[in-house]
Amino acid sequence: MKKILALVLALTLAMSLAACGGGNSGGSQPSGGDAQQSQPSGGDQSSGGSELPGAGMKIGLVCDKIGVNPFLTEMVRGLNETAETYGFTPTVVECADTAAFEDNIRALAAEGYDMIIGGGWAAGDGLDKIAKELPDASNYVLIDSEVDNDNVKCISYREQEGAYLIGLLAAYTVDGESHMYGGVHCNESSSSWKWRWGYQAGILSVDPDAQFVFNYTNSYSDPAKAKELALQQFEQGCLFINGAAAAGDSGVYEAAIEKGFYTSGQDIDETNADNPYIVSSQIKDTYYTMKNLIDEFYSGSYSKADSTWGIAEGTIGAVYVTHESPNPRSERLTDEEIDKIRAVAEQIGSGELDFTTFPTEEEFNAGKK
Amino acid sequence: MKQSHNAKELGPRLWRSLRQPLIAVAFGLLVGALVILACGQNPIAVYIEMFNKSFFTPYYLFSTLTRATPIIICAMATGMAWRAGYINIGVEGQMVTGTFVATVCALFIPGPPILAGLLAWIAGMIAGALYALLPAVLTWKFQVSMVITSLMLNYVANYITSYFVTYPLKDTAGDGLALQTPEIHELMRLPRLSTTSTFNAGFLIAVAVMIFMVFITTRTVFGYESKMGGFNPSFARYGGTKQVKVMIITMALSGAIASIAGTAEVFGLKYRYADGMLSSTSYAWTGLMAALIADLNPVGMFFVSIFLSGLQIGGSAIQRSLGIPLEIATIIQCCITLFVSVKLIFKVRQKKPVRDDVKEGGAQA
Repeated sequence: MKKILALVLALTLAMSLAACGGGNSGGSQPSGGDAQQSQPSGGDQSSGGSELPGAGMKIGLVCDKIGVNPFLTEMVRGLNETAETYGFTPTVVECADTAAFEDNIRALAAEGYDMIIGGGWAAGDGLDKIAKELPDASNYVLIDSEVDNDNVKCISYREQEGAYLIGLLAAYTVDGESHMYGGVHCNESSSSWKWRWGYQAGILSVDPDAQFVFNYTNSYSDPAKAKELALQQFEQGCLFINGAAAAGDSGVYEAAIEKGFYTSGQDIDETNADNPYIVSSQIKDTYYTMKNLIDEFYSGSYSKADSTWGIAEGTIGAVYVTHESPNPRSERLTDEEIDKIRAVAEQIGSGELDFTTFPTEEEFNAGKK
Repeated sequence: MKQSHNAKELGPRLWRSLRQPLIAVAFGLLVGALVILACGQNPIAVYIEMFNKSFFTPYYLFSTLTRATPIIICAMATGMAWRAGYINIGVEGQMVTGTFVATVCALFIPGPPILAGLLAWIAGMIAGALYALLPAVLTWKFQVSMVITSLMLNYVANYITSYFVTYPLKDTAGDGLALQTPEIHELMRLPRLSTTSTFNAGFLIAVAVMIFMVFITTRTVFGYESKMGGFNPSFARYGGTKQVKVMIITMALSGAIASIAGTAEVFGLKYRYADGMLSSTSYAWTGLMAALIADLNPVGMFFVSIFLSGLQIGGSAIQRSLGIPLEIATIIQCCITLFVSVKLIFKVRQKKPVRDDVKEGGAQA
């Protein structure tokens, strides 16, 4: 029974992926215009006559199953677009399981890729190991996580800055109608604390009586569970529920329509003309990150030093504050309120408000009581 | 009598035992080819690339064998229980429990690392065996279906270890995002057998487990008793087998072997226990497929496991170089298993009339 079920699931999955896969390769084909000719000839630059700096080079992105996870789809978009600009051959490798990360990174290194980018923390361990074993085989980059390895360039984000803006937006949206604020997040790890801290600190700066309830899906793609958790939080009196459950957020949006509470998305502009309850979205611009990284790589300013990007670099922000949206803003947010939040965003960007260090979860909770 | 039978038609017998798996493989590849066609690619080119990058290039062959290691051992664990008629589909849970205990022991037992490492292996095997005994005892005392209990205990094991890796035992080095324990001591790690890949001594352990399995099944009284129990429980009871004892030992062995599968992965490849490292990779289920395809024959399971592992390695290779979805390999695998299960039905059909003719006490189907 389980096997049959598994087979049926595998078939449907494969069919849908086949469709995606077709689209993907379609997307990368045009970029191959020059690269395609030069790739079979390997390092031989005399054929093709292309002058693009990346011709004949290969850059691989190793990440989780992509599906509709905007964090990853944006990364892939960035990779494919820069491939057109620079003429390298982009490869996206989706990993179905944890062992596959290391296998694939190792294989890309063996296949002579010029740069191997790990998209997300799951690739961290594999990159760390292979960058130690084969230090000169490739350039190793890890996005959105950190490992203790000088040979891996780690790009991480100050998500707390965006979360703080979302906290302000949440407090202004609710306008004191309730002091319960919810959040449906992926997991309760110490590094996701920066999301929760920013959100709570932002709300507390407007509504000092605020109380919080957080729940976790323990998955990056579980809308059903996220919806259930959001409904429970609404029953506990939350009028604003922050969605930070990756691809699970769509469940929170659905619950918002059903029950009429307010919510926010993450990573890309998730506001939707058909769902007025999504008042904003916490931006984490992986498209821009990818573009910036590869621009640096080809302009010569690339270094292996780790970097952390935030509002100042334009990769972190919030819709209607630092990023525009084609969709109408919720009427719960007035122009004055948005102006206030923009002022805060500018202060964060200029360094006047410094969120690079913030209390740990224990310190924060002790301070609240 | 049976031996002369064997010698007389060894060729046809070999053919008969290989016929179905080979046809199944052919059909599996055919269905895969249809899906590749649907992706707009040339199946023959894709298959050439796939097998080149799984078996015919040394680097990828080593990758295949590395990935096959836990699959082979899981197949043996499955075979150990199934051939005795105990449908243990909880190999995953037993593997997870055993591996987790072994890793924790390796991290916390003081003293010389090599000795501690050895103790860790033993502790892991004991844990795996005890975990396998849970469904056995439930079956024995309460007649609960082992299929259900062993399957459900997989989830229990996964969630409990997940808790430990997420909270008390998490490695906080780096940014602490990954749910994993710290790394085990360098002296405990299994030596690598190749300089370019991760191929390690775990594979030799898999070979040893296979030899052990062959020895147990063909050369010991216990092996005979458990096989009889699987063929015909009533006859085995009539013949004086202590069924409870056989069940307990069988399940304990199955669990202990399962634990070796994951422990070899930790000590040989990952050097730490990471959340989902054994369940998301479906080692146990691939091993189960291998056991079914090979009809529980240890040597057969060994090679089928390597073949299935090659499909997975080749599957990610064609994803990398040709943009073919990874699931193609899964489809081929599942189709092969599906076509092999056709064989099981043939067998039942062939056996029935024989049983009716003989009319022995055990005709209870």
